[in-house]
Amino acid sequence: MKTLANPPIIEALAQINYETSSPVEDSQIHGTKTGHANWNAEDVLQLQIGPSGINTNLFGVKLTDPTSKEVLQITKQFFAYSQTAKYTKWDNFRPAIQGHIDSFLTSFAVTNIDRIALRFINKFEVNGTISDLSRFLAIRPTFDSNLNSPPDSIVFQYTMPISQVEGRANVGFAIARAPEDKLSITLDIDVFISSRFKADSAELMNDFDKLREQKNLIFETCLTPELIKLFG
Amino acid sequence: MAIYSGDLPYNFVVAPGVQLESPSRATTNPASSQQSLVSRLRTFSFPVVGDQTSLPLSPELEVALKSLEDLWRDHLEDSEYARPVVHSTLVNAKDFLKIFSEQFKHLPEVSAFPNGEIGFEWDTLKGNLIILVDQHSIYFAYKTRRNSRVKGNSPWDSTIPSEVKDAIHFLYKE
Repeated sequence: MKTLANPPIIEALAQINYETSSPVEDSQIHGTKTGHANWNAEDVLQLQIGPSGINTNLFGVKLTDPTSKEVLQITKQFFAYSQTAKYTKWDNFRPAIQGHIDSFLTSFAVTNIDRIALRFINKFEVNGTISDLSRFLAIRPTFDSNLNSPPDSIVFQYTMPISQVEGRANVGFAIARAPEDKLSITLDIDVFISSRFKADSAELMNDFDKLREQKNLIFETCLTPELIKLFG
Repeated sequence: MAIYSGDLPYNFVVAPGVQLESPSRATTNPASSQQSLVSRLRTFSFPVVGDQTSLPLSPELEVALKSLEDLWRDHLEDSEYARPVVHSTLVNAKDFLKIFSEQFKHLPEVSAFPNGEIGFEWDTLKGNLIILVDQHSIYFAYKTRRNSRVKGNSPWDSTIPSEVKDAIHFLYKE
């Protein structure tokens, strides 16, 4: 399996959707801020608008470490941990996921997990134009040569089952011209399993390992050897 | 309540239309989208009012929609992950809601989508209907719990598509 030595990952994320025996209280959400006193906290709100006016409900909180740019999303439906600037490799990401999930499962008294997901967003900048796409992407749209003018941006997505883990994947591409005659290629791989998992971080990590393997397989099938060599 | 928290414009299976699964479970929520969630991807819920068969927009709702407009105006800037909601989209969405509420009492949840559309959603035990409105068109997708599916689109000409009417009648049939 090929993985890149210098992956241009703009976000690597692990997420769990969870259940508790009683509804999550606003105080629990707010309480997470005190455990991350040096992180920037933003409340995530839901607004309800109706004839009687506007009501605001707390949905969750987004915590960002101003130095490392790590992000925690703690909501009433899911918990997610992201590395948005300093992703290096899985061996470093994995223990960070486990540590944060472990703390969350304990502090929120989570009873079950009903969905786990990994999402990796890669952004490549290469020398070339959209006409050169075949050099970089193994999966790509083709355009009839009679087209009056070639497209200058392309966005497409495919979804697929992953039978090996009984999961699914959403794979998205966004291609556009970038400054200095570069071509920007965003590859967004979202793999997830909707099933019932025990609220145990060690067991969850085994499942995340399997998801990561599938994510890498998808990654490899999307790119050409030439692009992999550029970042390998 | 369906919070939409996808990020990239290609989160839709039926481009540029509608993803039929619950958005909160069909895609994972990157931190960048949560930024959007904080700033602009808020979900709005319009509760059903009484037993009226026709619901003209009340002054209160007009005020609420004005607030909604102000909120979006504050967040019109394009970003890497979300396109702005242009004003003509908002005008069409308000037009749609007004016409819809004259014919039906079942008002939807409303949210901004990252492609710049405004979305309306009805979800009952019988199925799910999602409508997206942009500056030119209306897109709809309807799925029953038995997996019967209808989808389509048409230019927005201030007319509720017959498929949408049929879907609402089915979703709320006694």
